[in-house]
Order: sequence, then C-alpha cells, then structure tokens
Amino acid sequence: MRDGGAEMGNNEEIYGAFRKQIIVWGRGTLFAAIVLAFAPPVYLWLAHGLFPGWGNILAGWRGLANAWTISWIFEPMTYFPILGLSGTFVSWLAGNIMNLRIPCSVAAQQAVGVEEGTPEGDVISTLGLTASVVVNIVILIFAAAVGVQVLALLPAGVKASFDFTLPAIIGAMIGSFAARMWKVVAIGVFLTVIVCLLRVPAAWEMLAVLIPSVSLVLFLYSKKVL
Amino acid sequence: MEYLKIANDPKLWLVSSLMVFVALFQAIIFMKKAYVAGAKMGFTDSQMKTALKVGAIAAVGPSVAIGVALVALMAVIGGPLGWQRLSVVGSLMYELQNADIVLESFGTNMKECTPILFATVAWGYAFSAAVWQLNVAFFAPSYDKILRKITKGDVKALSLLTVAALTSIISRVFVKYYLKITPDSIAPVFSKLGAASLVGLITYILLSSTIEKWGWKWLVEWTLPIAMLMGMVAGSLF
Repeated sequence: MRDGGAEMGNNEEIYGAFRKQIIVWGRGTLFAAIVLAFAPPVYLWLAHGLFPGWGNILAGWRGLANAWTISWIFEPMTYFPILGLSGTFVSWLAGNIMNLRIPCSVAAQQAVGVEEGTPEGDVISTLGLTASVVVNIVILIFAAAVGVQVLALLPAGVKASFDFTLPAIIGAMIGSFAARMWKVVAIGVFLTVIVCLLRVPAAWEMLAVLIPSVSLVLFLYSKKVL
Repeated sequence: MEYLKIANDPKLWLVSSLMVFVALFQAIIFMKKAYVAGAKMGFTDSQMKTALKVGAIAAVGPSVAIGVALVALMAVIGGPLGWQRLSVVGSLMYELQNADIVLESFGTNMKECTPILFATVAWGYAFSAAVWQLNVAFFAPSYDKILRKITKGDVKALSLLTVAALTSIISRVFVKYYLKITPDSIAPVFSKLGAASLVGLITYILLSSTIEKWGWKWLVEWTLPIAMLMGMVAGSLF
C-alpha cells in the first residue's frame, strides 16, 4: 500500500489537509446543487406559467416529509462507515448509492489493497468514486438520447407496460429488503395490513405504520430476536 | 398524457442539466484533490491510476443497467427530469415513489397527471433532494462522532432502523395492490398491479439467491432492472 516508507503520522497530517478541502468543496457544490435542483420547477413556472401555489407545494412536501423524515436523518449516516467523508459528499450529490457508488468504492480500495475507514482508504475510494461519477454521467447521456428514440418507436402494447413500472419496482424493493432481513419486512407488511383494516386516515397511515414497526424492530433487536 | 409534452420540453433538458454539471464539477475537483493527497501519502502514479480505472470500469455495468431502467422512468416522468434524477441524487428505487407520494396528497396518481400536477411533482423532487443534501452538507463532517455516540459501536441497529423505516413506507403501497378498500368493505384482490408487484418481488429474490449460490457477482447490478422489467411484463400480460 504505502510506498517509500512514508510515516503514518505524516499521512494523518496530509489526510487532515485533504479532509478540510473536501469539506469546503463538498459543502460548496452541495449548496449549488440544492439551489439548482429548483431550476426545473422554476422554469416550468416562468416559461409555462405552471405554478401550483405555495399551499399545494407545501401539501406535496408534507407527504414527502411523512415518508422520508427518518431516512432523511439517518440514511446518510448508515452508509458513512463504507463511503467515508468524501464518498458521502460524492454519493449524496451523484446518487445511486447502493447499486453503483458502494461497489465502485469497494472495488477501487480492494484493487489497490488499502483498508476501508483509513485515510489511505478514503483517498483511494475518492479516486474510484469520482471516476464512477464521470462514467455514469456519460453513459446516461447516451441512454437518454437513445431512450427518446426508443420511446418514439415503441408500439402501444409495450408502452402500456409502463403503467406497471411502479408496482414492479415496489415489489422488487420488498424483495431486496426481504432477501436481507425478511423478519423486518414481515413486520412492516403485517402492521400495514392492520393499519389498513383499522381504516386509519390516509394522512396518518404512513406514521401509523412507521413508528410502531421501527419501535418493534428495535425492541426485538434489543431482545436479540432479530 | 398532456403533461408529457411539458415534461419533454427541449429547454427543460438544459435547465435539468445544471445540477448534473455540478456533480461533474465536484467529481473533477475531488479527483484532483485526492490525486495530490495520494501522491503525498506515497501512492505511486500507477496505484492511483488503478483506482481510477477500477472505479470507472466498475461503473459501466451498473450505469448501463440504470440506462435501461431510465427509459422506463422517462416514459412516466418525461426525459429531462428522469435523466436528471438518475444522473444525480436520485435512484431508480425512489423517483416514481416520490412522484406518487406527492400526487397522493391530491388524491390522484401518475396516470391522471396534468401539467400543473407535474409541476408540483417537480417541486417535490427538488425539495426531497434538498433535505438529504442539507443534512450531508451540515453534518457529514460530524457523522463519525454522532455514529459513535448513538450506536455505541453497534452499527447493525442503525441499519435495522433504516430498513424498518423504508419497508414501512414501501409496504404501505405494496399492501394496497392486494387489498381493495372502499367506504363499506375491505377485500383481498389480485389485479394487474398486484401481479406486476409480485413478479417483481419473486424475480428479485430468485436472482439474489442465484447470485449467492453461484457467486455471479456480475449479475448484482442487473437484479433491480431485471426484476422491474419482469414485473412490467407480468402486469401487461396478466
């Protein structure tokens, strides 16, 4: 791994300086991205006069907040031990964490033979991840260009199958969690059925499942059942 | 499907690409910084080029898989936003759900989407991305400390918490494919939607056990797109 007998203490120092730069640039680029993420809706407003009104926008946001608050708080932290600091900045801008970033980070670190969670590992992981960002963006530009053509050519019968994209993905995701932790999935599905049978009002449904299932899972874990 | 005309407005491609450029810019800056730091740490040029090469090669398979899935996403939320979501911040798993959650607040869904509802979805996308990113921008440098405090070395509890939260959200949608709820009755049903979802689930589990059994790592990134496509086929044939 390290050549030329560079001392560990010295590497910590180099890494400290690297870390500082990553924080400055990472924050700057994330703030820029946050602002620019609003460019499409603002464009629809200014160019097409499509503005739903703040009340409706907030109603949509409330729905999202009901669903994602726990993930908003905890999910970035759960990947942190694998991705490291710079990997976290890269991944939460460039997305596709499970299916793309983590495999690329791990592959780069293994190829060079550094250990995850060390300064050396973080630097090598950053190289692998940033290369993956460039490749991913280039390939998706091609895919989007081809996609436009393909969609125009598809017969109506095939297009009808796009109505089933969401249920198919939902099923696949349940499958992916079940493959890893089927008991957690069983608890979630079971509680959901109960909540439906109890006719909990739609606005509360999400929390009515989320809070008991998270509590139950953590409780069972503390009792070593899970 | 009038909203798709708006959703595929050529200029919307340009507007959506701004965020993608930021991701590209960040990647190039980080790459340079890592290269300089790596050289100081004593890594050789060839070691660092290996890291870059391996990262790039490892990205090809998953990116092509995402590209295939992108076509399906584009059919629903239009080209520009679908492409932006999968190039940055988003992932195939969440984008349709996010659209669905926003539209549900108005008692409707993507099939009945209108231009103004599409604009509401676009506001929702921007917001949802912003919250994750604010969390990371402010707190990522302290994650190490926070993690040590709340898990007391027990990272498994945290991943259980995350999976439990995610399954609760998804199973809410999932269960409704199999329960017909009207004001006076609740009955089990099996519809096209249910067939699509079930086949997606079964395909995913079969693929992941195949991968485990035969050690076919190359298949990993294809699990989600294949399960999705099989579900879509099942839904239209059922």
